[in-house]
Amino acid sequence: MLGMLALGLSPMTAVMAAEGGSSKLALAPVKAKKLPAAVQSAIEKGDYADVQSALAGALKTMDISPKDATALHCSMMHELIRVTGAEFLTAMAGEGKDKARFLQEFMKDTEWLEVYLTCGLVPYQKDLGMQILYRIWKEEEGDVKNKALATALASCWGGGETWKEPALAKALPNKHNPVRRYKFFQKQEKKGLLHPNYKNLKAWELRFVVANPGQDWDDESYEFAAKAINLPWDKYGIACWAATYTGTSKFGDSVQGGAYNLPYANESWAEATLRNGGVCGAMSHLGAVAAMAHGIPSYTVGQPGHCAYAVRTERGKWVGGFGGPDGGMHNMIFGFRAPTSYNLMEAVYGDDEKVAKAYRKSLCARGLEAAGKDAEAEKMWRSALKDSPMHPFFRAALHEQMKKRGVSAPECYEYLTKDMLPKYAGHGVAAIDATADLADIIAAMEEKDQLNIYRMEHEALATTPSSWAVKLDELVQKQQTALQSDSARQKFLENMFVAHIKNGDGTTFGQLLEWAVKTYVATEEGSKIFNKAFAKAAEKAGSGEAAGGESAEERNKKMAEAYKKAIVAAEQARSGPAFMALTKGALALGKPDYKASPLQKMGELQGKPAAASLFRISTTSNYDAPVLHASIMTPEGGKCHTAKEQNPNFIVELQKPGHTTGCIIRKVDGNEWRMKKAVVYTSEDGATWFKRAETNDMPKEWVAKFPDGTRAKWVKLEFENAGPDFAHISHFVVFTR
Amino acid sequence: MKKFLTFLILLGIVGGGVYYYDPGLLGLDAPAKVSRKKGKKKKKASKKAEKAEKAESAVAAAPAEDDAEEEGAPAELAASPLEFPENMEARAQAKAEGRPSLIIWYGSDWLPNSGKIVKEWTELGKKNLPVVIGQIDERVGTVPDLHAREKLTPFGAFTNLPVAVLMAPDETLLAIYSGKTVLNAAAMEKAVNRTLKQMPKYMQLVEKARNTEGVEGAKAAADALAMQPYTDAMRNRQLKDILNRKDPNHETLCRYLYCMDHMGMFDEINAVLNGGKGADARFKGNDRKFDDGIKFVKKVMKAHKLSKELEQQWTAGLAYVYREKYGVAKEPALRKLVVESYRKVVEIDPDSEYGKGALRWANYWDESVPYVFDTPFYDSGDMTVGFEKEWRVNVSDKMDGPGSYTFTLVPVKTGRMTSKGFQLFANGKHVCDGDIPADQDSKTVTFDVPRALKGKVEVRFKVQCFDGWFACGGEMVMKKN
Repeated sequence: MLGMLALGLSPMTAVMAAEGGSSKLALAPVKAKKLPAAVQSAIEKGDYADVQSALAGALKTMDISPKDATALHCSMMHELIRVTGAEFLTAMAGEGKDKARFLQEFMKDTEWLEVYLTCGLVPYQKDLGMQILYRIWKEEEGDVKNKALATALASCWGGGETWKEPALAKALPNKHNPVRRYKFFQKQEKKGLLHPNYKNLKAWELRFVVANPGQDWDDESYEFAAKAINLPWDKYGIACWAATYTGTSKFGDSVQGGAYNLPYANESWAEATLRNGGVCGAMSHLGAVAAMAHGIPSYTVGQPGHCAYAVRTERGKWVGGFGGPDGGMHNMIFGFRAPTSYNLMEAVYGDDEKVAKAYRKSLCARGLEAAGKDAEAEKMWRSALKDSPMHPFFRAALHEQMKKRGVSAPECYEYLTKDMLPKYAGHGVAAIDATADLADIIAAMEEKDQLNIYRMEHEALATTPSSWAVKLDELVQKQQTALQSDSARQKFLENMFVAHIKNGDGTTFGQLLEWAVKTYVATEEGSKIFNKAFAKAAEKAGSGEAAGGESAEERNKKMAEAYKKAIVAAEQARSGPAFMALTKGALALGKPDYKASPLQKMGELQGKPAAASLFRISTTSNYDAPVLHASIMTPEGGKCHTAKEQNPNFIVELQKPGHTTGCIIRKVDGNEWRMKKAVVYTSEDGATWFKRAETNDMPKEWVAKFPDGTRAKWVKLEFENAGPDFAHISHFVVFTR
Repeated sequence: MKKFLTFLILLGIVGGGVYYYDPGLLGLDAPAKVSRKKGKKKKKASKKAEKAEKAESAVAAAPAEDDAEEEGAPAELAASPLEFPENMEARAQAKAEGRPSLIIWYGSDWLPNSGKIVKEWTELGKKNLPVVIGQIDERVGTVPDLHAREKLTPFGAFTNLPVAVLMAPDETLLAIYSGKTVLNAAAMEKAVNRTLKQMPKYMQLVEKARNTEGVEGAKAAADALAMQPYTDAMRNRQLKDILNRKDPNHETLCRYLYCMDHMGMFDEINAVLNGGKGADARFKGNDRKFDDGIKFVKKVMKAHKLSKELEQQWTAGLAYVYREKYGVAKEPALRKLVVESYRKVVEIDPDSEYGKGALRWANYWDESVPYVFDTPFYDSGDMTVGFEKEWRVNVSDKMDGPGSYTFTLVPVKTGRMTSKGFQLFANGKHVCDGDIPADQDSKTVTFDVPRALKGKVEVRFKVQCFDGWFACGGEMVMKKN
């Protein structure tokens, strides 16, 4: 991230946005004053290496601050050249008079320059972004009506730090034409066909409307989807279902082979999908394109064996489509991990004015660096971070400066524990990512200091809304590897467990448990460390601190509570190994005094009970018995109990996909009048569900038979209640051939 | 139902005549734009209307060709929404009164042109149609989730609003209207009246289907489904349920036609070829029962009079079996049958999705047909894999008198592809060869053009891709040196 300062745009005050013209800047534009003669002359000559050195020279003589318009302007121009590359700009200026004139005008247009440099990712060491701006400028004869939109296109299509190879470079010009897409949105806006909030979107937000040529569809798809899918603004999360889910084409070809699309290769991808169907990839892209074509930010997202998407129904609120929004985002600013990456992005850009001010300071910091004033630059970065404490690029730039001057371990410890980490509540992944810049210095600290830093990181992580999609194995592995002694490792585990048992939402905890189980429980010595750490953590989490002198019964009770939470966390994290290991550990403490009634209809299904690896409950409650969840999937039976829900559900994950013949579901004894309307679905990818059986009056023991040839790895039971109600079952046994 | 029939008799629209088979009579609707492509041949008026009907019935697929699409016409939201009874209330009223219900599904606070809808449907309300008009005004935030949306009609949800659904008093699906029809009171009135005119025959079949046990009931359900446009029939869950229930052993073969889409059809065909489904499949590769597959498809196609869509679908199914057989047998006669089958699909309706797709497949397999490029781009899907195809690239606008010209393929997608045998043609006549040997693979070639060429000038050459259908793409550039 250090290679560039990708400046994200700030949103506005409403008044300024309405009046702020096409740039949608949150602050009044910097008033351009007369530039130093050497800079002016170099720009006119079109040699951007000369411009860069003239700017550096001028900046040395200036008192650089956001209040000094000339210094800020010079800093912006220098930054543009630094991130784009002087050689690219010089070459572009040499491609013709028009291009040279565009560059001259752009360098002088402080408003547009600022939007470009603060729009998330600036195309990095490529002129592609500038070429896109030029083409739109040319199309509009020098009077660009929507600079924010043009900037979003240039920024997103031109690539950036996270897209080192801009996808546009590999896109066919008749499929991806930035001018065509720009004009499409301008036309749709003029006709009033876009979401009412579209007009308020800042350039960084518009990046998620214009999409990314690496993941989105052709221009014609936007034009088609705008006509062919029209839903209430809040319903684009279901737009994917405009198409039929099918793995076989109209001509019998599998979607896994290229022949599937061959007959429709001359149609837009949206049209081909809507008319002929597809599977998760095509359908999710269709849903995302439909949303974007209506001015609603969206992204597609990769998940294991699946593709989903997300739409942003209002500022800061991303909702999933087809199993989204979590996974690996295909369009991004601060990393690809949803939800933590987009939550960070929304937090950073949440306060329009503050982040705009921070950006101006960051530009000045870059100006100071160009002038060789590193100490002042470091101060300026710190000042920018006061306004926008979690901006990853600013934080990385500060760390670079700190390392450059050789920050000491004690100073670094003070900085991390007092200045930085306390500001990352709710954004633990960002905290850990940012801290990684200083890993070498942390590794040189005493173990107690390291442990303290890791503890703070996990405290931030525990309060971070996350999902199964945000993988933390590598991260905790690095933390653990940095520690030398077994006692430190045990303490590290203990701190980690305490943080998550106390404050975690379960998901991250489940993942960390999975990592800990895999890392420690395989060996006897490791098991000891794990068990001691878990026992200590359970004690602490139950009482706020270790409670000496407790009876064995009290300790066991706390342990059992911790295990319950841990098992449900493992389910949420979709971690089969942790689920099984924790169930085993919990049962070792003592089996709950409960026995399920035996199944009566075992012989009604062909095949045998399938080996299952994970049970998932939609919600838990005080009546739930997570330790018995695993046995629900066996003929022996167990017990689970949701909270009150409209559609409570349970999912069984099989150890391996196979031909399933059906399932037997039995209600827990008592209150059988509940759970009337039930549906059983199966899935091969964990996201696309097919209805296989349903009943409007589920008996105490229901045998749901599946159609011949039903392959599945996941089987879901869902109740369709008239109002919120509990669901409780003792058996959910899937049969395979 | 009795009450409803009485009502129809009072209206004088129940004929006592013999039922005759006429697919697509229900749901006739006002014409909608069919072709999105420029330069299409003009069709006869009747044919055009027929196509319009089909396009109109493709509810989920047809773009709403509304007035907002006209240049410069800003979208208009309703100042105040429609005042018809709400969906469920209207349907209950229709049931009580024995009248059909006509439900419009729109959104007054977000749908472009909802202002026009309100104006037109207020007008429609005054026309004394013999139906109870109701509404679903799906305003933003009013329907909580996908499940709730699915339940708004007995036929599932729609993703391209506005749409209108006409139901019999017992909520049997009569027709679905979308596109321009919904935006125009006169068109709606005409379309609804046309549907109602055919309704007695349709409802007689529905009643028969409900009240007759066994395959006779199933057949009546199939006959009723055949009266509807294909896309409406596919949404008609009620009749499909009857058909499934009353013909569990496929005695009428009609379940293959009406109770499964193309995916289901290919599952069944593959089951015949493979001697079973999934894990029960007994045959693979050369051992598959291709002749049984061909017999099966032909038998199903004779089971019932087919709509165009079904005829296309099952003909594509037949082509598939031929193609699979050709894949192992490699007999030229089979390849010819593949091409003929695809051409038949095109012939049935060249403008349909099946027709357009089949044309590409037919041209792909037909060795005598070259690929013609009128734009300088080659892309995904233009590739032939396993054999060469002649490409003809129109370069007429690049010709500027005699001289030396260089033609270059500039790849953007870089899969392995050979291109050879470059020649220049003018108006179909050979002008000159390229400057490299005919069998040499090259991405660039130079032509010495001896004279000024007028008319259509083409570069012709042979191409084959080795990395799949979607591996190659790029631009073709012709420049005078």
